[in-house]
Amino acid sequence: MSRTRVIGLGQALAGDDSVGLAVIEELRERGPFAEVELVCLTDVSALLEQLCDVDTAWVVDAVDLRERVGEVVELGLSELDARASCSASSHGLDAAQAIALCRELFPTRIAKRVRVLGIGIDVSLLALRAPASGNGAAANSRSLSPRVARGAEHARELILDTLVSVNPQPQSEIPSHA
Amino acid sequence: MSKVIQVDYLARVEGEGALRMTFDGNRAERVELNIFEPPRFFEGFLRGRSALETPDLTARICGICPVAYQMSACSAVENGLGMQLPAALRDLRRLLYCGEWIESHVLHVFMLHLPDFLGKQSALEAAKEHGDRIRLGLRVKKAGNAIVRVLGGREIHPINVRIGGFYKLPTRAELRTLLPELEWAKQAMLEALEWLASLPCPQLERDYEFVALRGDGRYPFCEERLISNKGLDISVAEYELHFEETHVAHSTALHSQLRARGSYVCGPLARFNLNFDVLCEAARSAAERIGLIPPVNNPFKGLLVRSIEVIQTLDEAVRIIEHYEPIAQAALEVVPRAATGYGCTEAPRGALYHRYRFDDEAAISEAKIVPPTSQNQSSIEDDLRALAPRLVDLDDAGATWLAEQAIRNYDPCISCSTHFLKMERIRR
Repeated sequence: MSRTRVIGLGQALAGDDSVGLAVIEELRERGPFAEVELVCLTDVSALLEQLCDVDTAWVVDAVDLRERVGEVVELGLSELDARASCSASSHGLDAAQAIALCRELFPTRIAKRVRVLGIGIDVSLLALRAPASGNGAAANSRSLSPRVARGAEHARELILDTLVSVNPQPQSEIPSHA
Repeated sequence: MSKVIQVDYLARVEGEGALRMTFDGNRAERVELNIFEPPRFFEGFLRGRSALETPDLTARICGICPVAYQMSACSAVENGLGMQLPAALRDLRRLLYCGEWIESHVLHVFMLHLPDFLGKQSALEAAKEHGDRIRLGLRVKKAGNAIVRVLGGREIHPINVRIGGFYKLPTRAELRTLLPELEWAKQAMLEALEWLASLPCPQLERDYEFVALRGDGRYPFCEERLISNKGLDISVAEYELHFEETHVAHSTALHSQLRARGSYVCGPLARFNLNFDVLCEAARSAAERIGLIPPVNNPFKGLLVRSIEVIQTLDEAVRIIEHYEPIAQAALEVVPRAATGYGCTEAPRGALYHRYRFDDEAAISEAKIVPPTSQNQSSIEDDLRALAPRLVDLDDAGATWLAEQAIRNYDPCISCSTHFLKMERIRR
């Protein structure tokens, strides 16, 4: 069982909304890391399963912070609960609701620590961009606006600092199958 | 007295939308389902790309139903190239589609629509009293995810589908590992159906025109004829002769209409009503036990029809796996030629039409994609007009809830249709 799972949420072709996926992409370039699983999700309902059976789960997602685009914020339990109880979500299920639902349905399986990093985007400026070549996550980092790309780097460094402190061995000593 | 219902953000739907209703007495003067997700221009950026890329590119339109986009893209391009897939590959495509239907329908039934029938605001509230049901739904959904993972290479945006077939075929052993959970899921859904049928269901009946694919004696996935309960019976290539998309000022999504008769309904109710005779024995008898027999003209029964379709797809998935024998060739050879290809398959939410024109090197010069939510928008607005006398008598919270539930009947996928809800109610 992985001790840590880092989960990026977003839509690959939805411009800045894909920032959660871009952070995972950048972490993969720095990895692999022992006992760390990196996961990209587009279906938020799949988050319920991914939050279970690990010690720590990171959730990285875009948040609508129009005046603070690119800012990285860590959402606390009370803020998540407030968001989860808000029925005005326009999406099928949002990350805060999925985390609250996971706590309700799987109280013994949910990660002991769930840390949620939001990266500020301006939803009103979302633009969908065709991939430069091929498709998929490889195009993500290239489709971010400059401030959100810097936010992705900041989020990556925040997560890396924690991973390194958990797994201090240098990369060359980390088995390739990890 | 005038009254306005306005919902600024529709909850428990996929994507961004709003609703504004203006009333004159108990009559709905205007109903505007406003899809304000930005246009996505997929048809534009497909121009110049290879038709062979369409399964991968169009799959990105939706994170919930990527397989549907892959299937319609493949059907269209293969149609243009004159390719006929062998039965074994067609069965594997049906199996992959079964996986997506299970995932998508179960998500909608247990997480998005069920709270309405329990009088709860969200899946979280529903889970506090009915946690076992939600957990059951999640486990069934996982069985669908597993099909997509094994056959599609991964659960989200599968990567194993290509024009002509698949990149790699699964072994019998790989597929047979799925059987125990699929068989459990079928029994679990048969039991869950009885409970779902016992929940209070709003009444609304209209004279719908239902449109669905009709196939070769099997429940429709990838078929060649479109039929309706009002006489439509056409080949997929004739689609644009009978259907047209129009722009409306209040929405970034196009509205699709039958040229002859206006709004129509595609999706689970349409498929069920037009293909009841080809449901498997387990699904048909389960429907009969709860009194769900065509014609079903109440869209709120969509919760039950989707559950029947989950039973149908679980049953079919088991049968395909049990009879699966790998063949030597994972895909037919693709020989590009200049052509126009037409494809229509049954996405979980309804018929998904693709047309591509490409040259002798398969470069696309024109693409057209009509998703099911565009096709159902007019009918959703007609349902809301029919509900107007009840909406006008309810308080704002009750009216908003009932209107949103009516919209959720269609499991609208707004991201797909931007080509979804704020609700504003205006009384005059």
